[in-house]
Amino acid sequence: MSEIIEIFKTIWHFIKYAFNGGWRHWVFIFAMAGLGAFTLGLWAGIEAAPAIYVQWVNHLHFSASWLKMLGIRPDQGGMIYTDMSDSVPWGMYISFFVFWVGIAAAGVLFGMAAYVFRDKGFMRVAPVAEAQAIAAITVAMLLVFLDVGRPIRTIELLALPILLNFHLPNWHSMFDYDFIVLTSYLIINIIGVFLAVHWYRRGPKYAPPKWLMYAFMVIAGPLAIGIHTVTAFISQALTARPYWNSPLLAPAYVATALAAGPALLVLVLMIAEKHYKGYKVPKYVYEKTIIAATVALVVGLYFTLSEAQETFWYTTEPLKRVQAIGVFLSPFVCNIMKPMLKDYAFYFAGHSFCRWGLPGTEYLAMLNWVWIILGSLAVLLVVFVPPLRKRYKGVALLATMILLAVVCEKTFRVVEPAYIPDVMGVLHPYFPTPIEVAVTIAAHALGLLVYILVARPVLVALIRHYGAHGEEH
Amino acid sequence: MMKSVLLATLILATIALAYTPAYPCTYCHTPFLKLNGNVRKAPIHKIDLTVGAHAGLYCSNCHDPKNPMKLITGDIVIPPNLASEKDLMKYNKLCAKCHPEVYADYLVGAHGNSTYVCNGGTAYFVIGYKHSPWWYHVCPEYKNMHTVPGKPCVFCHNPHDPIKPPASIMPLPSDRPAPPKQSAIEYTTTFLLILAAALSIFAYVKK
Amino acid sequence: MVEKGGKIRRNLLKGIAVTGIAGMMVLDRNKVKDMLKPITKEDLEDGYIYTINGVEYVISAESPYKTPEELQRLAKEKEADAKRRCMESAKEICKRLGENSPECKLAKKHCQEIKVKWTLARKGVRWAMALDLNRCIGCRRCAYACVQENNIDRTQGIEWIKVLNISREELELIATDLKYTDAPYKERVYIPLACNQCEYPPCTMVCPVRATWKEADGIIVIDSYRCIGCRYCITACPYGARHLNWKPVIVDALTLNPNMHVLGNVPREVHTVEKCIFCIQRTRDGGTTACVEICPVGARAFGNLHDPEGPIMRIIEEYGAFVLKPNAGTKPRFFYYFGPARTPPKDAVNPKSSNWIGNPPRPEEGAPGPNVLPGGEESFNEEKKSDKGM
Repeated sequence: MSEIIEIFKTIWHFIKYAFNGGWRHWVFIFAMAGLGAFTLGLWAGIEAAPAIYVQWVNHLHFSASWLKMLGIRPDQGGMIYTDMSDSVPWGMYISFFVFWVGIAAAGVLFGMAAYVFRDKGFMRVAPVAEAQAIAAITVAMLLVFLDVGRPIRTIELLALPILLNFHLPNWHSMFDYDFIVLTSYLIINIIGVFLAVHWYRRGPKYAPPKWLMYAFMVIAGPLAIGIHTVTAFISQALTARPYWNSPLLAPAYVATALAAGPALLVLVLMIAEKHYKGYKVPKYVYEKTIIAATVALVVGLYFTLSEAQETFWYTTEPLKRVQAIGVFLSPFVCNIMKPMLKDYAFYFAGHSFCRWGLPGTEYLAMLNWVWIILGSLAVLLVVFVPPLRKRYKGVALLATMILLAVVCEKTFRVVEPAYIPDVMGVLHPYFPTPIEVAVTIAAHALGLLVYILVARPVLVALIRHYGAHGEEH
Repeated sequence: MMKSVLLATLILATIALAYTPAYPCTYCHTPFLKLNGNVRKAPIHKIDLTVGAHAGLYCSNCHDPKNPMKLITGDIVIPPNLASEKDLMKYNKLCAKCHPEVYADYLVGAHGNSTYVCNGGTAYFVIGYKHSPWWYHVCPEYKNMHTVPGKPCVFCHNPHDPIKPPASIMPLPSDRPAPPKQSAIEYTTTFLLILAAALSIFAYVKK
Repeated sequence: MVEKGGKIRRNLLKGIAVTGIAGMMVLDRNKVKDMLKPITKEDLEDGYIYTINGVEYVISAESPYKTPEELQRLAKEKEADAKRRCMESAKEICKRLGENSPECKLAKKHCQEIKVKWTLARKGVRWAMALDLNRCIGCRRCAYACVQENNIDRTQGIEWIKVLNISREELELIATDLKYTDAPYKERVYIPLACNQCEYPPCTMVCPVRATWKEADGIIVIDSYRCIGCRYCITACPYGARHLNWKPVIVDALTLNPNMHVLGNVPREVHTVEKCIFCIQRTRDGGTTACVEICPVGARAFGNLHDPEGPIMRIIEEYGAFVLKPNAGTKPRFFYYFGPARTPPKDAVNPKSSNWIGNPPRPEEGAPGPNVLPGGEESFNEEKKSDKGM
C-alpha cells in the first residue's frame, strides 16, 4: 500500500519538478512550445492539410466545419511544398530521424557502465542519459510521423494494431519492426527513468534494487543496439539503392551513434552542472565518455574509409559509383580520383568535374568532407593532446566537434546519396525547402522540451540521492 | 468504232488522271484493259518497286495481271482513303502469303497493336493530354471484352513501300511541379528560431 | 575488482542468453519456423479460390481483402467517392461554362457512367508484357495514353511510363536522358519503363501496412484507401515505377475514364502512391492495355505468360527476351527484346530501305535505280548477288 502511495508521489515529483523552475524555466518552456506550435501549425495547416482533411472527413466521417474554420481545405497545400520527389522520396525528415535514433541508442551506454559495471560516477549520469534517450526517440518518432503522407491513417493501420493487438500488419516490413523496437525502447527508457527517480528522490539511503536495474539493462542493452540496427535494416537490404546495399551500414550507424550520443550528453551535463549547483559529475566521467566517443568515432571513420574503398577501388557497379562520387568528390581529391570517375562524373558534371559532388547536391560532398576532417581532427586532439580532455572547456570543445562531425555524417550524407542519381540513372537534385526545415525544427523544439521536462525531475532526484555537494557514499 | 471509243476513253482517262486526284479506277482498269503485270514502276501511281523493302517484286506478284483492280487473293482494291478499316483487314491475307510468320505473330498479338471490343460498345479516338492520342472506349458494362488485332497491315505498312517511318515525337515528360514560394515561412521561422534560441540560451546556458 | 567485473560480465551474458531462450520458448515454434522459411514461388501464388459462374478466380493470400464481398464493399465505397469527386468537378465546369454548354453535359454524363469494377484475378493467368526495343521510337505516346486511361492527375506531372533514352552500346541505366526532343537515333535505344510487375517484388515486402500486394495474376496493386504515404516502396523499387501524389488529386470530369477498377485507376487520394497496374480495368475483363493499343509502331505485346499460344511465349521462344536489372533478382514480368526489324531512325542512310543499318551506301544509291529488265528473272538474280556482296 505504501509502495503505491510512493508511486503516486514519484509521479507528482515528475510533474512538480518538471515545471517548478522559476521564471527562466518558464521562458524556456514558452520559447520551445511556441516555436514547436508555430512550426507544427505550418505542418498541419500546409503540408499535411489535405491529408488530414480527407482522412478526417471522408474516412472517419467527422465534421469538416472546424477544420474549415482553421483554414484547412482539401484542395490546398500538400507535400508539394517540400522538395521531395519520386526520385528523392525521403528528405530532411528521414535524415534527421536517422541521426536522432543514433542519439537515443547512446543512452544505454551509460546505463551499462553504471548498472552493470557499478561505476559510481556513471551512476550519477545514467538517468540523465535515459532522459536523453526518451527525448531522442520522441524526436525520431515525431519526425517519421510528420514525414508520412497520411499521419492519421498511419496511427489507424500501423500503430494501433501493433500496440493494441500485437498484430504486425506486414511481417516482411522492417518499418513495422522499427516501430516496435522504437516504441519498446521508448517505454523501457521511461520505465528506467521512473525506477531511478522512484528511489533516488527519497534520499541518500534509497537506491533501486540491483536486480531490477540489472534486468532493466538486460532488456534495454540489446534494444539500444537494436533500434539503430533495425533502422539501418530498413535501408541496407534494398537492392534498388546500391549506395546503401552493404552490410556495413548497420555497424556504421551504430558506431557513429555511440560517438554522437555521449558527446551530446557531455554538453548537457555541463549545462546541468552549471545550472544545478548541487549536481556534480566527477571529472573522470567526462574524460572517459570523450574517450569512448572517440573510439566510436575512430570506428566510424574507419567504416567511411572502408566505404570509400568499396565504392571506388574495384567496383564496376555504375550506379553505386556515381552515388559515391556525389559523396566523395571534392576539388582536393579530384586528381587522385580522376582515373576512377571519368566516365560518370563527366556525364553528370561536364568538363569541369573537379568540383564538390554532383551538380545540385554539392552540399552532400561538403558534409562528407566536414565529417572526415572534423572527425579526424577530434580524434587527433583527443589522442595527442591529453590536457584538452582533462579540462572542462577542452571537453566542451571536443564534444562539440564530435557532435558536429556526426551531424554532418548521419543526416543528409547517409540518406540522400542513395537517391542521387535515382534508380533510372536520372540526376534529380534535392535541397530542403523552408517548410521542411521548419517542420524539422518543430520536432527538435518539442524534443528539447521533452528533454528538459524529463531531465529536471531526474536531476533533482539525483541531487537528493547523492547529496547537495556531490559527496560519495 | 470500238477502237475509237476505247481511244476516247483512254484520252478521257488520261485527262481525268491529270486533273482529278481521286478518279474512278475503272477508267483504266476495266476487264478489257490488258496490262502487263511484269513491271516494277507505275509512275502514274507513284509506285517504284525498284527501291524500298519490296524492291524486286512485280506488280503481278500481288495484283491480278489480268485485272489489277483485283488482288491475287481475289479481293477488290479500294483506294486507301475510301476504304474502311474492315475492308483493309481483308488485305491481311495477301500479306500473309509471303510473311506467314509475321502474320502468325500479328494474329496472336505479338506483332502490331491490339485493341479491344465489347458488345454494344464503341471507341472514340481522342486527342487529349499533351496532344497525345488515346482510344476512349464506351461499353455498357466494361465486361466480357475481346482483344483483337488493332489495325490492318496496310494501315502501318504502305504495301508498295512497307518500311514504316518513325512517327513524330510527343512533348517532353513532366516532373512534379516545383514547390511554391515560401519566403513568408522562411522569414517567420527564422525569426522565431532566433528568438527561441536566444531565449533558451538566456534561460539555461547563461547563468 | 577484476574478478567481480568478470563475474558481472558473465552474469550479463547469462542474462541475455536466458532472456533469449525464454523468448524463443514463449514464441510459437512453428511460427518462427514459418518466418525463417525462404519465400518460394508457390507461397507467393497461393490464395483463396472462388468459383463465380463456373470460372475459377483467386484472391491472393497477401491481399488484405480476403473475400469477394469485402472487395465489392470497397468497390462500392470507392465508386461513391469517385462519383462525388467527379460531380464536384462537373459542377465547377457547369458554373464556369454554363449549364447548357456541351462540356457541362459531357462532364455530367461521364460522372454517371463511372463504374468501379472489382473483377478478380483468373486462375492460372500471369500477365506479362514484351516490348521490342528495335521498333520503339521513343515517341512517348504510351506514356500519355496511360495518363488518360488511368485517370492520373494531369496537374502533378505524374506519368507511369517513363521513356529512357540510353546508349545502345551499354544498355546500362545510368546517365539516362529523359528530356530528349528528337528521336529515334541510330546509336540510342529507347526504353519505355513502367512497373515490371516482378515475381518477387521488393515494394510489396517493405509496405508496413500491406497497402500494396501482388495479385494472383501477377499484377502488383495498391489500395489507395490503405496507403499511408511513407514512400518506403518508392525507395525499394529498382525501376522507379512508383509515384506519390504530392498534392491534392484533381479529378477532371471532362477527361475522366469511367471504366475503373477498385484496385486500379479509380481516382487516388492525396499523398498516396500509385503505379502501373497493367490496365487492370481492361485486362482482367479481356481487353488489352492502353499502351499496347496506342503504340504507333506496335512495339508492345501483352498477354498471359502461361499461355503457350500467347504472344509473350511466342516472342520469348522466337526472339528471346531480357529484363532490366536482372541482378536485382526481382524476376520482372516485363520483357524487352530486340526484334527482327527495326524502325529506321532519323539518321539512317536510306530510311526507305530494309537494310539500312550498318551498311555502306550501295554503289547504285545515287543512280536512278536499277534497270527494269524485261526478263525479270535476271534482275532478281542480280539483286541477290549484290545482297550477298554486302
